[in-house]
Amino acid sequence: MPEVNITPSENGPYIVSGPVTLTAPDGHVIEHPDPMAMCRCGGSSNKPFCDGTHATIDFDGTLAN
Amino acid sequence: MKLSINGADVEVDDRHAKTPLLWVLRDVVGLHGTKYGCGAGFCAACTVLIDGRNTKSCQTATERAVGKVVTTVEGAAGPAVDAVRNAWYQGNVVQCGYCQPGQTLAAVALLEADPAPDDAKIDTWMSGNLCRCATYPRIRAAIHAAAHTLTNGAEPVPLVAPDEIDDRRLTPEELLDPVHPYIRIRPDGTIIAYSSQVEMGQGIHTGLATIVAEELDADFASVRVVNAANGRGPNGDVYGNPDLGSAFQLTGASNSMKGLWVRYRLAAAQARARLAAAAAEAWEVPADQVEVNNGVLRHGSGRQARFGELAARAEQLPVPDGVRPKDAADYKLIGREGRLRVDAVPKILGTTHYTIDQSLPGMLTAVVLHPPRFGATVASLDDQAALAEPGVTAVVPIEEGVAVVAETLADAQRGLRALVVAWDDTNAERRSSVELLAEHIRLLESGESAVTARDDGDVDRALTGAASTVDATYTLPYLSHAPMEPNNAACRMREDGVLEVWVGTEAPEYVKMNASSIAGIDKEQVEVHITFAGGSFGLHSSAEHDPTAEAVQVARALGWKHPIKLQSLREEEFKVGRYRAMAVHRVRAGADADGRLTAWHQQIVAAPTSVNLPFVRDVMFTNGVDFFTTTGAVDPPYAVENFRLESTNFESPIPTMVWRSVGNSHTEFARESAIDELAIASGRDPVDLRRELLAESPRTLRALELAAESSGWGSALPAGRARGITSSGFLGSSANVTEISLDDRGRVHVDRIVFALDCGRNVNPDLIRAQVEGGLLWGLSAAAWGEVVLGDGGDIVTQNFDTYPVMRMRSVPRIEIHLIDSTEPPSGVGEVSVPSVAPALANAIAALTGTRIRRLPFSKTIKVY
Repeated sequence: MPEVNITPSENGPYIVSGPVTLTAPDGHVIEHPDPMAMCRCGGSSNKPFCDGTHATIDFDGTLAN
Repeated sequence: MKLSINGADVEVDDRHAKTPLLWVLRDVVGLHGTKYGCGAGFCAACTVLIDGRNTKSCQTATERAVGKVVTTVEGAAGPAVDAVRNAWYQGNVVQCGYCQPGQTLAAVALLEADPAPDDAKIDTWMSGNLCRCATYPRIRAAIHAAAHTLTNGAEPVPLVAPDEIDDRRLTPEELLDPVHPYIRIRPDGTIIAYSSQVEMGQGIHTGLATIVAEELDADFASVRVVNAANGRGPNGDVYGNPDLGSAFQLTGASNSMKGLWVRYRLAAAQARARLAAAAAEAWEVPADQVEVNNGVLRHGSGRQARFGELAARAEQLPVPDGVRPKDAADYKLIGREGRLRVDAVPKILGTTHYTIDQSLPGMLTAVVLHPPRFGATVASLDDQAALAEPGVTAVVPIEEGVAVVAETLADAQRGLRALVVAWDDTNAERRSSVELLAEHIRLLESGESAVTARDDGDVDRALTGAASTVDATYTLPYLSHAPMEPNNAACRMREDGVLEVWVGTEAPEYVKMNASSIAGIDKEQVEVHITFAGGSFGLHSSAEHDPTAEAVQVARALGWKHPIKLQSLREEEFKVGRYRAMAVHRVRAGADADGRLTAWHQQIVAAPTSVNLPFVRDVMFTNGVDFFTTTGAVDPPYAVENFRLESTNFESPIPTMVWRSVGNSHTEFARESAIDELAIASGRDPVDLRRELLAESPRTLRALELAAESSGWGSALPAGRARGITSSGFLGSSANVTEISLDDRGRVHVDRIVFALDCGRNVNPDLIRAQVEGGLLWGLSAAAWGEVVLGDGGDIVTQNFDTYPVMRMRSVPRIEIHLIDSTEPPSGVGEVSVPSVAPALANAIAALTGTRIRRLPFSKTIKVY
């Protein structure tokens, strides 16, 4: 089975690598690079992707456990 | 596919189904108001409305717009649109203007969704739209103003773009006239000012219009300004930089207003005198009885004429002897509030032509794949797959990499992605930025290549005898300009052998040298058309291996058959470098028992920058010292008896370039941090210490006092807050007080920046404030988060705004600017505020936390937001 990796980067986006399909709520498949950076801070203006905003806002990405 | 664009049905070939809508709009439909900034959804310069919602057209496959209503800046209309656009115009929002079609459409969508948004709502909504000029405070104010207009039921009038002005090359006779190359008056009364200084957002065209209208006694609204070039004639270059002895045409060093102040005040006064002489001749009255006011000439006999009626006659007359500019007491415009930018309306309406918008019959678009490491070259190239892409017409290896030529940008980009290139790393920079920094520090410590730039008194003895000392090392990263419009160029070889180049350059002379050497023609056979630049910040000062060089190489390789537009992709621009140099400083300073500064020893290691600028390097790189590395360190505003400065030139294939405020962007971080550290070490208030050091610099002292007083320096702040201060004699005289707070997680919030400035006579106070605001936010963005990273093996990791975070609206602090009125000649304001931000913030963080941060960006040590 092909390997998919999801890494929450330090105070930054989820880095997702491997063969994954990204599907929008309306059903259309969103094209994406591999690996891709997915917004983790909620502040991106380019969701589901990262746009660098996490670095400039009040975001604490420390893992809970 | 059938699209609905701006109310019209548009048929688009199905081969563009997956093409981003941005490129279909721009290259297929021919609507150029929608801009490219990043191609990845990070910047929103490409914003359009789809079914009324602000949408990034670079992230929208064209097929997804089928069945929906697409509105671009060209087609947007209605009360909200007009309210927004008027507020933008009245608020002097626009600078380079490149992002503003996207900004205004996002604002329209916001006001349609929420007619009375508060600051928080505006910040959240607008934070997707980047602006490197950092017009954010004015955008926020303009949205409030537009909301107010709409809720009051007012009916704003649509803005109307003025006609474009032809930039015909001057004849040799015209070049010899003292007035003609600078100012012409058309029969309809339109006054055209030909600006030797390129408008790239800094507002110099508006400054020029103000000067010209003032000295001509013309109606400000009648003045139009264009970028001029090709001014070389028998008496040298009429557009040569006046502050550099007119040697060659250059916009830079923040000296534009300083130079225009001399040249164009005189030219306008001469034009006025010639109009008066023409009236005197026509009316047979003495010239000194002709009065001039607001574009009309009058005589006591009742005769009167508008400028346009006498302009042709005036041009035939010699300029009267002894013409001088006005006395300042007679100014009606200079120094007054109320001037609106002359370039704003076309920029708001999306009709301004940037280089990316250049369109010529038969033109092809080229993009270049650059090596992934600096200095690498093509080892082998397989272009079969690229050439098989629809629309791709050629693949051309050039000095800088591999160019793909196609009908549209999207075609060229698909071709670029299909290239298979192996790179030869023989001469490549293989060090990571961590390793490069370590090498800078090694050179700093060994001093093996250090050159002494200045040596006064006896530093070693003074340091030994000091009662308190500081020994601190400061490090700063590579930085990119990343203007919203990546640097582009277009060229065409005309049938008469003249090579035309369209480029938003700061240095047209470099363009001529660069293009002519590649084309193998005489320099004067190159004709430069200076387009409006979508930001530059120093980037467009390049003289080689830039988009001009790339465009000309491609055009030459294709036998000059096609005009070529070379478009830089954002990633490729990052890979070209031309960074602000990485820099390391060590400062050893000492104070006596009374806390007086007695010794200053500073060492710098950085790659030189002036060496990349022809002519400039001849005077700025002397005896092994680059003035662009040492500026701000070699000439501090403070008097120190024992002073030594040493500088080491770092060697690397990584290209460096002047970057808004040049060397001061790093030297002042070291200087102003070290002064603060010494104040703490010797138990002195940082303002008191500076006050003493500025005894011989009254203008800077005054700025320091004004910033301190306005910010409440010395008054108590609530717990968890602190201030930091800096002062500077860079370009003008200035001081910065930055106020910060710490949140419960130990992170820094920048609350307020107070900036006091003496920049000589304030020609247009509101435009000065706009530049100072933009400079502060530019400096804050770089200080807090800015860093270009080279990874293992020298791979260029930082390639777009996701990894090069820049200021967005929601992180903008409160900014207060205090301008000092002065009768001294004006000095530049585009760069003046930039260097102060990082040290003021470092000093505030030290005051608040006790931690001294000497490494930029701050984000490597502490979160700043």
